[in-house]
Amino acid sequence: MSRVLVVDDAAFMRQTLRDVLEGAGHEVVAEAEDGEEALALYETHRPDLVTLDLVMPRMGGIEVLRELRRRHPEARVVVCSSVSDETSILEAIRLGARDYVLKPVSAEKLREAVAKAGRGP
Amino acid sequence: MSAGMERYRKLFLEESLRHLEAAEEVLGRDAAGPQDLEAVFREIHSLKGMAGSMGFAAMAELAHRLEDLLDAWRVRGTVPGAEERELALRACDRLAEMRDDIAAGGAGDVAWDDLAGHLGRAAEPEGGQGADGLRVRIHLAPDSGSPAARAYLILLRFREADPAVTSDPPEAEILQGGGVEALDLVVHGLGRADVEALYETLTEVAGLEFPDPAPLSEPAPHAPVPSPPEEAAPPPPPETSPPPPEPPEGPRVRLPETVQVPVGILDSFVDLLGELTIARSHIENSARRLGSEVLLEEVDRLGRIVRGFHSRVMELRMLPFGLVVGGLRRLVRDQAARLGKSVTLEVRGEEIGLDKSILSRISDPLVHLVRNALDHGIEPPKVRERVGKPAQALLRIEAERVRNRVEVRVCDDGKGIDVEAVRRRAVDLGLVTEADSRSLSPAEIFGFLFRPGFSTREEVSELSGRGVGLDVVKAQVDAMGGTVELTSSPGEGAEVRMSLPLSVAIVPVLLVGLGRRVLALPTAAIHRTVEASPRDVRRTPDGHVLLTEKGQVPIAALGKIVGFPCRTRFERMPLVLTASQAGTVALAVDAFLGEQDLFIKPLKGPLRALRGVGGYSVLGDGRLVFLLDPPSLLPA
Repeated sequence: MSRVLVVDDAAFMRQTLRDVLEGAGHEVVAEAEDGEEALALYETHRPDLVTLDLVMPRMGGIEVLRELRRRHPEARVVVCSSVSDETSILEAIRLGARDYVLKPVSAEKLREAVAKAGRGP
Repeated sequence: MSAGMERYRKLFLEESLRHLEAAEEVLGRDAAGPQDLEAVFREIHSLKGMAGSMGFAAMAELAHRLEDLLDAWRVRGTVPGAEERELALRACDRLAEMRDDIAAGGAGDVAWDDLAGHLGRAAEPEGGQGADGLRVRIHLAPDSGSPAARAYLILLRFREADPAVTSDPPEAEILQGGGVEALDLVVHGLGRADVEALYETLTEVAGLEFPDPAPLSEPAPHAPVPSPPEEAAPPPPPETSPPPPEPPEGPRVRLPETVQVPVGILDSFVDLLGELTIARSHIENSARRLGSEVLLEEVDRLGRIVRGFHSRVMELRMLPFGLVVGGLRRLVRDQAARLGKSVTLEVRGEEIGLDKSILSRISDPLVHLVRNALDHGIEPPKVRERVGKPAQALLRIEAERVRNRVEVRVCDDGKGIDVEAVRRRAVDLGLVTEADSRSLSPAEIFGFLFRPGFSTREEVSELSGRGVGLDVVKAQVDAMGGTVELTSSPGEGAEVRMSLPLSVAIVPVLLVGLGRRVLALPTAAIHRTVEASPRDVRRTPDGHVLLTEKGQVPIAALGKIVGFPCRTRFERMPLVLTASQAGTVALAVDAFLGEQDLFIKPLKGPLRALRGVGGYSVLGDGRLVFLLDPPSLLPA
C-alpha cells in the first residue's frame, strides 16, 4: 500500500481521488491545490506516489513534474488529466511519469495505475 | 479526374520531387551526420503522408519501408555505411520512378520487391543476440483513452529495459498522436519471461503476443489517411485506386483500404459529437442527482468512448499543413520575379496535421504575410548587397506543433521594422502617451501594428517596414481562436508568429462565476490567474490596479463589463490576467469554477452582433454559458 500525495486544483477532484485511494487501502498523506504547494508538500511528506493534475493555476503539472524529477529522480508520478491534453500527457510521459489516468477518473483504472506504479523497478 | 483533384495531383508531383531531391542530396553526401539524416527522415515521412493522402499505395508503402530504415539508423545512433546509403538511394530512385509513372497518368505501381528484403534486413536493429531480437506485440485496451500516449508509455517502459528497442509504429509516428491499436516491438537481451514481467506492470493493455518472425517485406497495415479537402469532393473512379497485387491462388476480393468521404459528413460528425458530449453531461448530472454509482460508472465509460470517438473524428479531419504551401510557392516565385527580387522559400513542418477548418482559414493570412514580406520586407538584390547581405533573400514558412497548438511562422531576412518608428507613430496617433510608451516592451510596441488603421501603405514605407493591413490578419487569426505577434530587428528581418488551436470546435476554457452566472474564457487568452490579497491591490485615480513584479495592471470588473450583477471582494479577489487592446488587464470575477473543454457553437442571427462573445455552449447541468473573447470585449 502506498503513501500518496494528491495534487489537483479542484477540491472535488481531490475528494474523489482521496475516496478511491483510501477505499483501495492507500494512505493519502496530503493534498496540494497547486504546483508550488505540491513541491513543498513532497519535501515534507516524501510520499511513495504522487497523483498529478496537469492543468493548474500558477505552476502547471508539467513544470511540477520536471522540477520534481530533477530534485528526486526516484519520484513516482501518476498523471490525472483530460484527453484534450494529449500533447501534455506525452510530454509528461517523456518526463518520466509512471502512468496516466484520464479524467473523469475511472475508479478501477486509478486503482490499477496506482497499484502498478507503486511496484516494479 | 475533377479539376480540384487534378490540382492536387500537380501539387503532389511538384512537392514529391522536391522531397526526393532533398533526400537524395543528403544521402549522396559522404559526410552526412545524424542531423542531416534526421532531415532525410522528415522528407521521406512527408512524402509518405502525401502519397498516402493521394491514394498512391505502392509509393506510400515503399516510403514507409524506407522511413523504417532511416528510423533504424536514428535509433542505432551511428552513421550508416556506404552500402546502406546506397540501398536508401536505390529506394529513392524507385520512388522517383513511381513519381514519373504518376506524372505519366499511372498510379505509381512500379515493382520494388527486389528492394523489400534488403530494406527489411537493413532496418533490423543490431543486437547482441543475432540479428533477430524478440518480437513482441502488445494490444492496447479498446477503451484506452489517448492510445498514442499509452503506446508511448509502453515504448519508454521497454526502452528502460532495452535501449535499442524498435517499434512499429515508430516513436515519431506515435508522437504525432492519434490511433494506435497495437504496438509491435523488437527487443534484445530480454527473454519472454522478462517481457511478461514488464507487461504485468502496464495498464490499459489487452494482450501480449510473441509473433513469429514474419518476413519484414510483408506489407504493414496501412494507417488511415486523411482525405483531400473540399475541392477534391468527388471520389475517384475505381480504376484510379491501386490495382490489387496478384492474389496468391484462386479468386479473392480485395476492397480498397482507404475510402474518400465527402467533407460535409466530417462536419456533421463534429456537430453530432458536440450533441453527444452535451447529452453525456446531462446524463451524468442526472446520475449524480440520483446518487447512482452504477449509472455513474456507465456514464464514465460512455465518456471515454465519446472521447475516443472524438479523437478519431478529429484525426480524420486532419490535413497536412503542406497542402496550403503549394500555392504560396507559386506566389513567391511569381511575385519575386515581378518585383525583381531574388528569394529562396524554405518550408518546414509540411507534415504537421491541422484541422481542415483551420487549414482552410489559414491560407488568407499566410498569403497576406508572404505578400507583405515580398513587397515591403525583402530588399532588391542591389540594396541587399550594399548592406552586406546575400543577394538572395530567405523567406521561411514553418509550422510546428507546440503542446496543444500549432505555431505557424513567417520569417524573412529583409530590412525589418524599426521599433522606435512604430513607437513614435503610436504616440502620434494618440494610442499611448509618450511617457507610457517608454515603458513598453518591443513586443508590446509591435502589437500596435495590428491595430486597425495603424499602418497605411505610404506611412509604412516611410517607417521602412511593412505591416500593411496586419489588422486584417489579426482579425482572421482571432476568429480561429488564435493569437498573432510580430518580432523584428531593423536590418535583420521580421517574424510573424501565429499560434493556432488544432481544431476550432472544442475549446479549453476557464469557467468563472459572476453572482449565480457562469462565463467561459478561453485558456489560450489567459496569461495567468491570481487570487489577489488586499496588499496586492492599490487604488489610483484611474481605478484599482494589481501590483505585479512587472508593474501595475489595471483591474476591470468583468461583471460591470458584461452587465451581470457581481460582488467584488477585496480580501481574496480572483483575477484573470488577459490581453486587451490596451495591454494586459486583470478581470475581476467572483470565483474560478475550474477548467473544462467546451464544445462551442457559433452564435446565430442577431446574437452575432454581441461584442466580445465568441460563441456559446451548454454545461452538464443544462446551463447556458457564453464564451468570451477578451480582446474584443474590452475597449481599446
